Amino acid sequence: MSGRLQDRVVIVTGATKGIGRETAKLLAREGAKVACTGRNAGDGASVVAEIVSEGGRAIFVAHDISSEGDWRTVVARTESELGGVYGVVNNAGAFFVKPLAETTEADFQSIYDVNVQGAFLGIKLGFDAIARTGAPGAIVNVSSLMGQVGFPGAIAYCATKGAVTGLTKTAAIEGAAMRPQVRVNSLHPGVIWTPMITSQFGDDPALAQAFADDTPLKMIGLPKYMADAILFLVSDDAAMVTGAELTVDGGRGAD
Amino acid sequence: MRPTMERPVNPRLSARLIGDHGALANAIGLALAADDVRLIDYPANEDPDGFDVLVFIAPDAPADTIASTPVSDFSKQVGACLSAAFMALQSGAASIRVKGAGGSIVFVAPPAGSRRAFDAVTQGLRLMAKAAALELGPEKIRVNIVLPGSGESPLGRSCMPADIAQVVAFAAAPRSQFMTGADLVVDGGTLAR
Repeated sequence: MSGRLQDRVVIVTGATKGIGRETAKLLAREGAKVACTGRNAGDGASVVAEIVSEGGRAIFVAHDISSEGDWRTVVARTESELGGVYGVVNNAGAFFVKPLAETTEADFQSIYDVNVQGAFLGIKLGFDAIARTGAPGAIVNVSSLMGQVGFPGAIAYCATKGAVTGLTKTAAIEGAAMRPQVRVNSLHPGVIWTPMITSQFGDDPALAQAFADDTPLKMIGLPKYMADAILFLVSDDAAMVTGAELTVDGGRGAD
Repeated sequence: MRPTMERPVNPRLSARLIGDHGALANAIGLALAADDVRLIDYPANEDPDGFDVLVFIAPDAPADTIASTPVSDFSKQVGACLSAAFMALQSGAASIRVKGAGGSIVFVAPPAGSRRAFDAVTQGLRLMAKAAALELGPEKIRVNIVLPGSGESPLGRSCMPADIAQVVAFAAAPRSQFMTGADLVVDGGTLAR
């Protein structure tokens, strides 16, 4: 069976858990060779093992996405072990809840380094890597519904995710001018039940249900839904989609 | 033995398409088929079994300026399109309810070029889709809108029917099951500028 991403090499950051992990597994099922990156080597080994046990191809590379040196290592190992890069999924991100008055400069800098500088480096080095293949490519940046609307208590997160929305649009125009071209889009998840959320709010199932009740669809946001949307954006199904904001949030943002 | 009054079980999803029976409609039929969604070609009110997906394709509107558009033309064009979409929503939701498993309604807006008088249609459809998404969400009926571009784009070509159809299929199929009230822009980067 030939998948939507047969033999294409895709780097997925933050692939050790949550949205990134589901995405790495889905892209591999669609035939992609996946470089899974993240900070936890044990979780990285387990996602690679899961992919390989399903007959897929993947490697793990340790990665602090705010470090240009780490990015260079990720790209070099991906190219030598999997082949030329087709796509980058800039998924890894940081999140904390703190009102404006309590948010320090150091707090702001730390989330900026990961969410904005990390995405910037992923786009920049991704463009270079894709250009070396002489073939078109695609980049998906995971922003957030909070990159489109405000949310009290999350000023730093909203600011950084808004920046990812802006990075995406400019990169899309520059990527369209490259030959071959690179498409760049942003995904805007609503509340997705992942360690990013449970680490801040706890993992009480009643809370998951409360988040579900807040969406018009009355559904708990699962990482699998984000993986489906990322697959769509990175695949040829979205051949004419670039610079777009795709919101997948159970309808929360339509209110 | 129970009498066999039950409907035959068809694991495949079915879709009804309203509007534009040209190249775009053909492309949408093909793209949906790849997601195992088949088009049915009879009117909703004659379909006792209901369906899972409704696709409403808005008619294209002339690219006239506000200055050159008589108000009678404006109200005819905008009113006809929004009313047709409204009827499609009502009848589509009713037919999706028949199956009781939720479903997806997809609006396809007129191709957007440079700003023009009839852009009111597109924005009217966008907000109608969002309002319907809120109202129909608890029934697991999703409503999204595909916004095609037209003419040259940053990607260096214009939007073809297949480009739009693949995006419609994503919005229609269960792989977008958590997406409702969303805009799906397919314009080669035009709006990013």
